[in-house]
Amino acid sequence: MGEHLKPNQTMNKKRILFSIFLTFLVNVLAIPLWTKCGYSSFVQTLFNKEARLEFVYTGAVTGDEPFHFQSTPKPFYSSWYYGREDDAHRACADLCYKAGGKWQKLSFLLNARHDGEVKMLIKGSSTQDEYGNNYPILTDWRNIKINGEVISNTSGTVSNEKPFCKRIHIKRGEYLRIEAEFRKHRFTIHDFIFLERGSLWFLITGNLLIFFLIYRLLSCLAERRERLRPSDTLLLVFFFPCLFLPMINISDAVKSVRENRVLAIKPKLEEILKGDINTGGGYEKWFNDHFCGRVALTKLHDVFRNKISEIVRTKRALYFKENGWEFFNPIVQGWDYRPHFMQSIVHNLVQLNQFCQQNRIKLYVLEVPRKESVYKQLLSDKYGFDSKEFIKVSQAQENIRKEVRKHHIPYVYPYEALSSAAQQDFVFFKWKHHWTDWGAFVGFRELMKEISKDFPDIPVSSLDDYNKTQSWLIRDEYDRKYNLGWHLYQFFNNEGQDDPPNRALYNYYNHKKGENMVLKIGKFTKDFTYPEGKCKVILIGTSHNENFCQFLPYSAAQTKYIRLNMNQVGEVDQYKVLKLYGKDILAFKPDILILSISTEDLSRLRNLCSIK
Amino acid sequence: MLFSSTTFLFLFLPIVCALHLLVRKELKDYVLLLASIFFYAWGEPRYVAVMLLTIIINYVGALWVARFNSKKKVFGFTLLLGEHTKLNCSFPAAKLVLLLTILGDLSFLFYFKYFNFFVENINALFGGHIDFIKVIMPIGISFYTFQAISYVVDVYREEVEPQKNIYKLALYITLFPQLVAGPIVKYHDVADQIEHRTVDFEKVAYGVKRFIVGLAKKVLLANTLGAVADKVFTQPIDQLDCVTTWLGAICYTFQIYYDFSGYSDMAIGLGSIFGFKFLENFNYPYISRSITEYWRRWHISLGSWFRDYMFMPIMFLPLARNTAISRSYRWVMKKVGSKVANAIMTFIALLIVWFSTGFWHGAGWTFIVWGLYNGFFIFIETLTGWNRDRKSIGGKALQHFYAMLVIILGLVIFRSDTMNYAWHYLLTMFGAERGETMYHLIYYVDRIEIIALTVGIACSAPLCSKMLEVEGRSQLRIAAVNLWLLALFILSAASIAASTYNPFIYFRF
Repeated sequence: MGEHLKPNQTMNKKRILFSIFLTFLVNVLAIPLWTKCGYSSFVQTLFNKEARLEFVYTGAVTGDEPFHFQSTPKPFYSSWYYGREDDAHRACADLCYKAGGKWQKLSFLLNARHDGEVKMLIKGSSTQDEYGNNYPILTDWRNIKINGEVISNTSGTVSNEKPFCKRIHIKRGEYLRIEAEFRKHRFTIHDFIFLERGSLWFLITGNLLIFFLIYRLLSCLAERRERLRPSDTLLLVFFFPCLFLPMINISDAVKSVRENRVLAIKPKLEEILKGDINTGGGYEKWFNDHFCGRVALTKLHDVFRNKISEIVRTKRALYFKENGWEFFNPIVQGWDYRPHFMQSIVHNLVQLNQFCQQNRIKLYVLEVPRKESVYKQLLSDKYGFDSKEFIKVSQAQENIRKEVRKHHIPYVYPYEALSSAAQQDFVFFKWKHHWTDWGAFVGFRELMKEISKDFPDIPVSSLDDYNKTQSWLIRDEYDRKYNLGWHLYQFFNNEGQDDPPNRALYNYYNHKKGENMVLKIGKFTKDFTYPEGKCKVILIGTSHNENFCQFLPYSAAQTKYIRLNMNQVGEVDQYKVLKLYGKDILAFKPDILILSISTEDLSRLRNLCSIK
Repeated sequence: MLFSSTTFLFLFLPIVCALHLLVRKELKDYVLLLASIFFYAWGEPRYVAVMLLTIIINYVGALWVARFNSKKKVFGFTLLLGEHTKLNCSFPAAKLVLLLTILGDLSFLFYFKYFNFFVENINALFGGHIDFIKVIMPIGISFYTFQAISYVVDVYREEVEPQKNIYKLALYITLFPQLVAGPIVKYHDVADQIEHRTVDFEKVAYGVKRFIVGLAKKVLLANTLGAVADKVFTQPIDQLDCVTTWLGAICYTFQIYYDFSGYSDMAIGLGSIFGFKFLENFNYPYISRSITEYWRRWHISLGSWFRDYMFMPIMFLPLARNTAISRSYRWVMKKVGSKVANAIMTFIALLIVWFSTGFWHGAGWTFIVWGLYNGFFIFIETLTGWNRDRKSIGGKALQHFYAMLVIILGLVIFRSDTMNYAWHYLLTMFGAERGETMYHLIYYVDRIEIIALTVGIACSAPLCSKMLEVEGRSQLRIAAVNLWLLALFILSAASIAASTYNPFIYFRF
């Protein structure tokens, strides 16, 4: 280094050869690094072990398997699953086969049990990068034939994101023979130039730099063999490249799936040159979100934190390692309990009621209690949490309920019912703040008690009307897919707990007459039509209502569900119900309007009737 | 740009290191100068002008001071006080230029740091309505102003030659390792290094090690303990109890030490990587047994700056020939004796120095009180001889207990936003007041914080003081230390990266 470390003037043959060997070695050792540098397809495809085929039935709802395979090569992994709610429970078969360097033949014999259409998808395997985006792992395919007819005889390359897709019409009893050949994708220079995110020139430059660095280091070591301390040399050799690593591949990802947010964008040069205060701030945010190895480092940090802490805490959440319960941090979620603040909430609810009365709509307010309140004993026992702040806030919220009821607005707060139901089964998910199907049913029952007073004819489902299934996964989101529980993974950045010891088995309820329900899904709305129901109901509320919609729409003839906390508008504006949805409400002409929000969102109701 | 930010660590530092390593020796200074200006402009480009102006003022000022010094030039004028009364005044020209240069330096500091404080107090005292100025204090202005003053005073005292090359002077004032948080490098300490310095393997290796130690101190200890202290000190005072207030005060005591000494370590390390040798800024201050000793170990560069450029000149004032101060001093000495006169002079000097020390730390009454509080204990210790070494273990323990108590209580004042908060906080600490506790103790500390506090307390004693020494150490020991440092570096980097993890949970895309 510095003045002392000047390279040899003459090139030494042996040293060159040794440097080339070490460069090769560094390349092999640095395969994970090349992946991070944007050569993910090459590296991942190198280790690719599978090719995937999906057969998706897209015909009418059948209630059983719409097709089955008379013969298939034995896959190393296969699954049958029913699709999402908006797919109307359509069936899908997923088959994975081991892929090698040589072409392999596959032959399937498919027997149709119903009329309809099967969508055949040929894909590569699926792996996510550090931002939760999929790597383009590639698989080569050729000679695809259906009943002997050649669909594609040239070889093609597919990935999970860009599959080969062929729609096949099937008739009941028909047999289809599907044949194809596949292998692990073979990379060419063309792929490096046009497919990889990392540049070919960077790869070459990087290797040349590694070579020169190794050569120079070898020269220095040879010159100063006696003075240099090997361990200090190694320290520097490790330290300085470590400083360079994060900048060698600045990610161009727009969003982070893991963090569930859009990443900061790079500021424009003219903004930087404006010369304003904290000019570097925007650039810093961008670099913070995109530097290479960011996720690996954050995970490393969180692994340490999670190992050491008894109660894993982030700014917004607590996770009790002992029993696997996760809660919002009740302190950070602190609440403004000053009188004028509470009055503004009451005032807004009264205004909404007036609006409803003017339009002959009956308003009901359903407040979903906080998980932290229902399980407060658990929280208190484990966290030692007997915060006076929490008690004060709870009292303030109780005052709001009392005030609203004074104005003869039906206000349902099923706290007692949920607390007692919690003795029988989980009313909230352990890793999420949403209530379970059981919790939602208890809330539904309490609400319907109130509604039945005004609408005695309205049918109320019981649990006997439902089929019960079980899963340790969580189903509570807009897409009705099962997931691992976002909070636990997002808050704690905790991938190591894909199968944590304290997971719970949840009961899920699907209505026996689910096929009679007609559902239209909009971007932020769902319209349910159920012929056996009565009345027109508009349900406005937050994400808790996803599970609630397993029950309520089976009581109403038409239900329109508007979800408030979607990010189409800012966090403050999204609760301005009259401003955003006033026209929709009037157009729908409902008999009942249910405002269903959770306690943690209660404070946001102060903007409910704001039209600004 | 903070040393503990990703942009500094993974973008700025490697590029500057690489450029510094690659360019020819005569260009290294320019690389460092440009890097330093870029470093400063990153956060506040508009204030680069203030810094450059300071450089120009001191460059010109020092050249004139040296010129007038060599010629012993005297600036004289005659004041007409009446028709027949004239007053002949003479003043050494060098001293006049020196004072003007210092005034120029301090005027920037006053405007950006203290103007609003004075306005606030004048308004409060006289019921005035003077408007505040909308200005943000330029980062590091307190540090580089003192460095600039040190340069021009050193030239005046003829301890160093004035720097003819403005770029080299600019490098001294702007050098990024010590620009933002010190240490305050005095010109006479680095004058030679600016002209002639070498970068060698050993310096680089030492610099890297020192930088890692500083980074770990800041990121792993100071930030962890700082989170606890912030939680406590942001609570309303009526929601804190005795135990919590002590917890907050102790955590803050160690936070400020590891934060500041961590920055100093990083600065010294970076300096070493670029071939400089900065003087130490901290020397295990929490093992002190008196406040006098504490200030010899804490922020040494600031303490020595005040000693060299303020305390000593004040103490030497009575020795000057035929000045009002010397005449007054001799009169007092005749009246009360030399011992008492000396004590009065020390008291006055300490009062001025500690007022200035407090005021330098921030434009607020809490800082001024904290400064005077320290000065008071030092004066008492000087008078009573409490700061003398005790031989018995009990005596030493008592001294140590006293020093730590004074330090912790002083830092409560330093940390508090207002004197009122500080007062009630201190009362709560000693049980004279008791708030309605809102939170259980586990809200503030968990295992990580307990580990950080334990490690913090242990490392504040010189248990591993010779960890980075390599001379006469076995290769195995050096390798073990290096491995440990690498682990610390990775952990620190992970911790910095973790601060960028910011999940948004309400809604999936």
